[in-house]
Amino acid sequence: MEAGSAKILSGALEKEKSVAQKPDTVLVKAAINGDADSFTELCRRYYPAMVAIAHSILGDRHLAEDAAQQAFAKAAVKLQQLKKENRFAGWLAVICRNAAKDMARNVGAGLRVCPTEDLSMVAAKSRDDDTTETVREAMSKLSASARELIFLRYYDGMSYEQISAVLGISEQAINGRLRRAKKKMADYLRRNGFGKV
Amino acid sequence: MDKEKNEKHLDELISRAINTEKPQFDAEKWKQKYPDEFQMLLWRAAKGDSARQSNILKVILKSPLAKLAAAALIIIAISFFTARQVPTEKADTNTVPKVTKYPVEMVTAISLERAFRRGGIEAVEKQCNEAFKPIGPRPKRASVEQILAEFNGT
Repeated sequence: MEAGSAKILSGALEKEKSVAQKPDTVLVKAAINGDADSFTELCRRYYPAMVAIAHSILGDRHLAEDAAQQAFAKAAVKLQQLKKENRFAGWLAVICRNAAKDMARNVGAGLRVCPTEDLSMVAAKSRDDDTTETVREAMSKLSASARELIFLRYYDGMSYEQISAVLGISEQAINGRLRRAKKKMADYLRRNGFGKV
Repeated sequence: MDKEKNEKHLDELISRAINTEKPQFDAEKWKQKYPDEFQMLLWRAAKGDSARQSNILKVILKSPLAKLAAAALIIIAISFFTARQVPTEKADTNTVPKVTKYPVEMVTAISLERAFRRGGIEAVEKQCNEAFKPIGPRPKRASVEQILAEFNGT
């Protein structure tokens, strides 16, 4: 009996391993034909990226996870509408962005922006919490796309290649945009008392 | 050097501000949270056959060669159909439609002339046979030429 269940378990593990090794396009094709394991693997692969995108819009980790899961649910329903299998990540990102924006409208969420008169006070403080708060303020000053890029890059240490698949832009463009976003943030932090940034 | 240091410092600050703990996807929880959507995904596997059929259609529509072949097939089918619709000369002579309804009318000069125009002497003979059927067998001695001669009064 135990040997039987062990065999089943090892079989399931092997299947999971083989699914995990498959490229996106193969998984997407299988998922379109109703293979739940392939779809689950795709979700597992893109969950951090989707949470990062939603987080950049909602400003809250838990809400971002909800939005990402909601995006997967919508994707499961609309999967047959996907025209190019190699564009799955970008297509999913669009769904996730919309889900996060809807959620932000419903719950009134969004990256918190402190009144400007408080910023100098916040920056002057040397405590870690305040530093983090000021960095978040700097992020909130970025455009939505630049903020999304920052989140994708720093959330899970995603490579330029991975970010390129999700956003559908070249790695050079990512590099340029990331540099500009960081420069803007550094300028903001300098203006608010972070001399060494 | 300072620039590098500054950049590293900024990277650290951003990482700290974003809470970079990697989120883990829990498939089981997700299935429980969205049962309808998950069922919809599974439902697609059940109707996989029809999906495969539509895939074949997709392949035909995508490939220019397949498109050409499909177009040629349609043209052949149409031409075959129309060719069957056009009556041949042979068909004309073999299937002569009745020009009149009653046997008496069938052997009038006008009706026989019409039959001749449609199918020649064979059609006339056929029409005569049709006309004589209700009134019994035709006398063996009387030929079509004789009957025609009688009608023409010659």
